[in-house]
Amino acid sequence: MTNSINDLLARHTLIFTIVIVIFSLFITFFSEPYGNGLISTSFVKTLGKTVCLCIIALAMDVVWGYCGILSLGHFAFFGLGGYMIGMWLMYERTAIIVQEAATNELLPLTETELSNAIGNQIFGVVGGYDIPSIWMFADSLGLQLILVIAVPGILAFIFGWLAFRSRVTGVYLSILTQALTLALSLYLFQNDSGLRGNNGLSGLQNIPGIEYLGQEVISIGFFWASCIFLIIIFLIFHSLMKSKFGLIITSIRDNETRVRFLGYNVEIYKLFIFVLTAIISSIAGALYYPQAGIINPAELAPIASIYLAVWVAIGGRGKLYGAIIGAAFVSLFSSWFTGGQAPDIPLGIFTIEWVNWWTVLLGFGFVIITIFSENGIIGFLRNIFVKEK
Amino acid sequence: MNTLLKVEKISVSFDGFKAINNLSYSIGKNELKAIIGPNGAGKTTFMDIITGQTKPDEGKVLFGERNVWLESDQKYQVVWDENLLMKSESQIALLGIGRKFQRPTVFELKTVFENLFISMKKNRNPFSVLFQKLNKDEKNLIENILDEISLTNEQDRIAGELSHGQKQWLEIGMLLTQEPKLLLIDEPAAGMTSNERRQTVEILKKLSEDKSVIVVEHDMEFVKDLECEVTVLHEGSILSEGSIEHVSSNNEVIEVYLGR
Repeated sequence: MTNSINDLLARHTLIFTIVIVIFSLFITFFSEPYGNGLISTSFVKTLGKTVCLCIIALAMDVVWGYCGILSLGHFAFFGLGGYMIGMWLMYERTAIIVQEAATNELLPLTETELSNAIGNQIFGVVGGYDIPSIWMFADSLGLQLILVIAVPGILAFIFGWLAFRSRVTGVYLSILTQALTLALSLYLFQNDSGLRGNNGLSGLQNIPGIEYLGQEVISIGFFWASCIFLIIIFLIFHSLMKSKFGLIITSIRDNETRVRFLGYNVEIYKLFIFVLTAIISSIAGALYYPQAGIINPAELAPIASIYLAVWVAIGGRGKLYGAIIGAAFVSLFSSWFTGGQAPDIPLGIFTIEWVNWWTVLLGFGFVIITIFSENGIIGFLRNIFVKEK
Repeated sequence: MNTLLKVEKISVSFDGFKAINNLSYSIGKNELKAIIGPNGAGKTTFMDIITGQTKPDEGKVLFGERNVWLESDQKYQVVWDENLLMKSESQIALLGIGRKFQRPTVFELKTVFENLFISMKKNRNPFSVLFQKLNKDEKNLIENILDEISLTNEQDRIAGELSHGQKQWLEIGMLLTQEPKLLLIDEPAAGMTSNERRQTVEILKKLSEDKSVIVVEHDMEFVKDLECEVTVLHEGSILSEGSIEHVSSNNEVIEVYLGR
């Protein structure tokens, strides 16, 4: 037991925790509600979302960097988490609005009228007022939170069990995970999927019951929740990967056959990691989308999962802080360039507009970093600062 | 002496090529045996079948013979603990069959000590592994094994930095921490210096004091030093069996080895 506490207090994790806490306090003291307002609420939201992306990058690093499974489907789990929490947010808020509107009526609404009114508000946009059966738990926060864990968990379990049991590995597994993501995204695009088709779920930033606090306060709350969850996940992954379990996971990455001949059931280990990271991705998504305010099926498209792999590769896979640096670095740059803040570069006959050219820059950056430093940004930094023995 | 492993009339073919042809073989408890044969004789395929990586087209692979007293018939009956054809690689490994690959296969990025730690005989269930810590007895066991394979001074080095011969020993050490009943050792002397060879012979002889060991080699000289029963494989079946003097005086064996 003392050993694991020592592990927890190991230099890396302690430094990491302190850095994140100081960062959070710093942001809070410059925010609108608790400080001088130097940092706008929308920027607090951007930071909070970035922290959530760092969490899913950690999950991606564990499944890819440590276990060697290049999953191109983890963003689908992230999106599923968003949908699950979004269902409660949207249903509950609509219910409150409908009930408030009904207070002016002479007769109180019957159960059916209430349900039809809510259904009409939510599903009018896809032409209907029946509430689909997958929304049956949407009035309960607790049940939807359980679904945030259960839905991706079960999906990852079934998919992983079938794929690993058949010994699908390498690029074939990547293609399968991508197919899963694409199928899920296409399904959600349909109106009769019951999740409002391509409209997705919206208004998620309004948290039922605490709306009176205002977005400035709620955004800080979510920012803190995301940071705390990031620290917790970092500590869990760190101690997991330091343990004997972690040794076996990286051994599977390096030589699966050897591990199998030592008597380990490799498939169970892979499944464990796949499901665990899927669930963590989903929770990260459930924290992300209330800050983003809207989720639609395009968020789950395969390209998002590929970006995720790019972040981890740029940051440096096989090291937890590499994933965090990669995700934070790329996604903050991405929102700077695509948000229109970056100055366009006029070249006489042609102007480089960063909104369109950012992906080109990212592509170049990715190629250059992976050519010159196999282990991404942190590999590059380590080469400079850490002297070889 | 009870038989530990019995292979009965196995055959396997890949795309029409018969890699193993109606082969029967057995090894007793604490016995040391060698299999030799030219390239393509089916040595590695034979090991693949025992360890569950390849399933034979026909035949049986049985493990752990026991004599059970039958009250009704008033006599002993032979029963086998396990039918290996029904098991996966990891299940077979757990039964006590360790395998050393032809090329040294260790975890190159991990230290020598970590390599042995992972191989240690313990519960392999992931939920149990989550909470496994190294205790004092296990540390002593690993240290004993490090001593046995002459790697005590290298225990904190990354396995990838070891010499070829040291990697071979490390892999044998990994098998030992598994505490197997049967060791399958594929070309242990490949790429070793003559000094390392001599040490390897000693290690293997010592192992067979309380384990069954099958050594696969194509180097006659090395097998001679092992001083054990030798089986010559050729084109998937047994050509000759007996002492090294016996098999090396066999005309067919001479032809297979020298005739090409």
